[in-house]
Amino acid sequence: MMPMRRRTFLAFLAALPFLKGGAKAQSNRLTRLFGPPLRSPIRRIFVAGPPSAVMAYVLTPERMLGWPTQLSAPAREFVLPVVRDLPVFGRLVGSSATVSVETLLSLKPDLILDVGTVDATYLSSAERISQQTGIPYALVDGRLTESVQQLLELGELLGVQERAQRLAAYARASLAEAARFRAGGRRPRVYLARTATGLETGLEGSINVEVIEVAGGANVAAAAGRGGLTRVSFEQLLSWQPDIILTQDAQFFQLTQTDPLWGRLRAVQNKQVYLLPSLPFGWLDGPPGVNRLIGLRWLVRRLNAGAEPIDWRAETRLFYRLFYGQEPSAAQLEVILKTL
Amino acid sequence: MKPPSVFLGLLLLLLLGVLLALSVGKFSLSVPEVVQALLRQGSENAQTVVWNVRLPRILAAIVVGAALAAAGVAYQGMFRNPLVAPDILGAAAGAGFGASLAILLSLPILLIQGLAFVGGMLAVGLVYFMAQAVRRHDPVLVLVLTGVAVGTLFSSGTSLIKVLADPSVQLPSITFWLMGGLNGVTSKELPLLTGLVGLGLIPLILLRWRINLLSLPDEEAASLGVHVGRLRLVLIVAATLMTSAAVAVTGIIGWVGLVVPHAARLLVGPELSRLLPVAMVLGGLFLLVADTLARTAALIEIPLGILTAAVGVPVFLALLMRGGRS
Amino acid sequence: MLELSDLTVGHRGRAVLRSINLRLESGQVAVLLGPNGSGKTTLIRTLLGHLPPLWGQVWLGRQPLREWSRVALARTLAYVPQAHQGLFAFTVEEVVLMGRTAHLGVFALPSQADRRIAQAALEQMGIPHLAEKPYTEVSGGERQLALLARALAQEAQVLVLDEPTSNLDFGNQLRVLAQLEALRDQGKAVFLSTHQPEHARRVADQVLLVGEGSVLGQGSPQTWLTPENLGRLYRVEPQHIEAYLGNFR
Repeated sequence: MMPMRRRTFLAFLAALPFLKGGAKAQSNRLTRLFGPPLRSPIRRIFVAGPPSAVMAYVLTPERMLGWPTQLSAPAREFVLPVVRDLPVFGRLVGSSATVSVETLLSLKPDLILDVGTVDATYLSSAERISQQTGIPYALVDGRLTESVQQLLELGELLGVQERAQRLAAYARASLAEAARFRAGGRRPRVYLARTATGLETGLEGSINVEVIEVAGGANVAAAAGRGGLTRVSFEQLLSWQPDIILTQDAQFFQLTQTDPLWGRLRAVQNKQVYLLPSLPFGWLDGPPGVNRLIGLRWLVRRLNAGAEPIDWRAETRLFYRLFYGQEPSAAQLEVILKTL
Repeated sequence: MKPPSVFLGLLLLLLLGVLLALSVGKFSLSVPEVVQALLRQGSENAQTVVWNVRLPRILAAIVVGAALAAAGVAYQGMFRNPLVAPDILGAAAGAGFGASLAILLSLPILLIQGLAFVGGMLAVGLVYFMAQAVRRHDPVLVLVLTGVAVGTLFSSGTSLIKVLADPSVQLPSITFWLMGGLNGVTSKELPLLTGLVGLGLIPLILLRWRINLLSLPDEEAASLGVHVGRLRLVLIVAATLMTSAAVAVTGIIGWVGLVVPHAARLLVGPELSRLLPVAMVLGGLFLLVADTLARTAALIEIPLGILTAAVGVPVFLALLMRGGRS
Repeated sequence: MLELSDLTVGHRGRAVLRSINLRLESGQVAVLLGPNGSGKTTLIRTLLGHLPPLWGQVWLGRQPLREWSRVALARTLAYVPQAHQGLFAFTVEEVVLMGRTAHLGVFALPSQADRRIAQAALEQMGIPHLAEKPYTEVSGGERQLALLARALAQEAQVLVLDEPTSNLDFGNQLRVLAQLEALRDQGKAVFLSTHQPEHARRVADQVLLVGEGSVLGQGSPQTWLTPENLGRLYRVEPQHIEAYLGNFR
């Protein structure tokens, strides 16, 4: 314990002069470590859930031990061969946790990585799991607005500072751009439709619709309150009349194009329904990880007339190469960008 | 009260319920606006809300409530147990599995409903044929036990799917589906739903006298001239058809099929030709009230299954205590 | 009307009671006596067609029982179980109307004529005042009378009764016995099992004593219901029986 404490203390001292102007990477502002001290190098990473998987993949794909959920067949094509056939272990925490302590021990990970919500439940379960297994556990606040810091802190932790800084630069640019436009002007009213019916969405404060607020939009469902996900009725939508409808569900997008009932919405009449890519990870959600940084850039442009246009083919190639390690093929690009 | 007046009274209540349900909702419309819209006048949005959103939902609530109540009446008589619900033979568990699978595979709505329907029918079919193979015990007991077993198997399948599902995208949808709700119902679903429920209802209406006798022990009913096994099969098919069709459209809604037949029996007695119409109207009324609350009581949609349980469970417990005393 | 010839009954190939021969004519009562576990219920289930005979034959009229269709059988042979609690609160009249089922079309409801027959059956059993009462709320004796009325409404020539007087108080036992005699006098053939030899003595034209897997005795009650025979049947000292029932002769 002693070296650990000393290091934290030293880090704190080192960070002191900069605290006012914004925290530095080594301050570990977002990361809570549990269990025994880390032993470098960290070669084997067990990811606790989907956002953690994306984070581990973009930083150090070769150190991942497995996936928390099955990659779909088309998604497999978008990720590096080294991770395509990794086993699926399920999730470590939350309501449908399936990873047993024994599985965890037998995998001998150097670190359990958990990016996402940080609250009393997750803190206590992180502490319990690390105590039970004797494996270091890093719990990282996964909010979109903290993407830069997440990448830098984990880059430091995993010893891939250089790569992390390149990714963080993209994140910084994407977030700064959003912040610039968020400041002024009318906020367009956005509905994020989930599932095939489109009648499910996130309330205010839901991590699943976080990107709307960050991009400077107003989530219409905030009128129904704060919380997580909810179902809504079509008549609620009629009274909200969102300016823009976003979705990642191809079935629902098809429905808006053919169903006369959905045609009653101004957004549909004005062709303001957008199907965002979900391969290999969603642009808006699914999972709520750093995969949303490109969706944020897209949404900022969609919501704010002043933003300079981007060549989306080039941008997509750039983001996918930078974060996912390989550029999509021309055919794949076609599939992704078809409905944007 | 005489049974006909009970039935007419309930029908009147149902009509009042429909009028009330038509005039409340998230899209604010005054009563005159609703009336105008009903006459195909006024703003187009008002007409859309009344004709394409509220009316289909109201009708679906009534049809589903009536179907679950009718299936409950059939099952409770057939299994000689007043505490049996339409999902006793695994119809709901099978439907839940089918729908979850479809959501996992990102299939369109029609296929989600289709797989839910097939899952419900399949589960009950499986239960029936497995129970037929067991000859050593009371057939009713065997059916119920097999139903519990197969239902558990399908529920486990659903749990497995929930584990495999993407936690931020598919898992919430599956969870919502399993809690039930009518928020997605459109006029497209209604004809098929009503048709299937009607089809299941025909044998119940035609055989209404004989079904009474199924509440007797098998051999006693047989000695009165009833083909018990055949009649039970017909009823299982009919009740499962109705339950599966209802559940496929709405997701899992518990307690209606258990509590409503009971309440109806208290009103008009157990004789089926009187019980069935009263139970169906009462079931429709119950679900209409529950769904109207679901869409208006809070800013968000309250899952319907939660509301029906909130009303159903206290009633169920009251009935249990009543049964314990006698 | 009902004839058992060299009948052996049992479950799944295991014989419980062997070599039964019996002829029961219209206007006669046959009483089956035997200790618990002697196969009385198995024999009755075989008579009703729920169990196939292991050997021998049950004749009803001129046809073997197994050639009777379910509906035709229900019109000819009525079964009166021990009065049960009843599950749902059907009225007594509805319970009696259930006896009309074999006479109705598959999809039909009981007609006015059926209601009149049910009413007459209730009157014959002396319980017309119970017609509208829930079956679940009347006394055990009244339920047994209602089930007898149901068998009457079934208009069957043969009645098979499974211990119709057990669980009844003394008055109700006498009432049921009186009704059985009335049915016999109307020309019904009645077959019943009982645990009470004094009932057999009162109503039986012939008795069938069964125990230890076979028929121990058969014939007129005067011949067979002696303290000695009953003592053998129930494994008690004949003096005890004589002290309790008096000498039958």
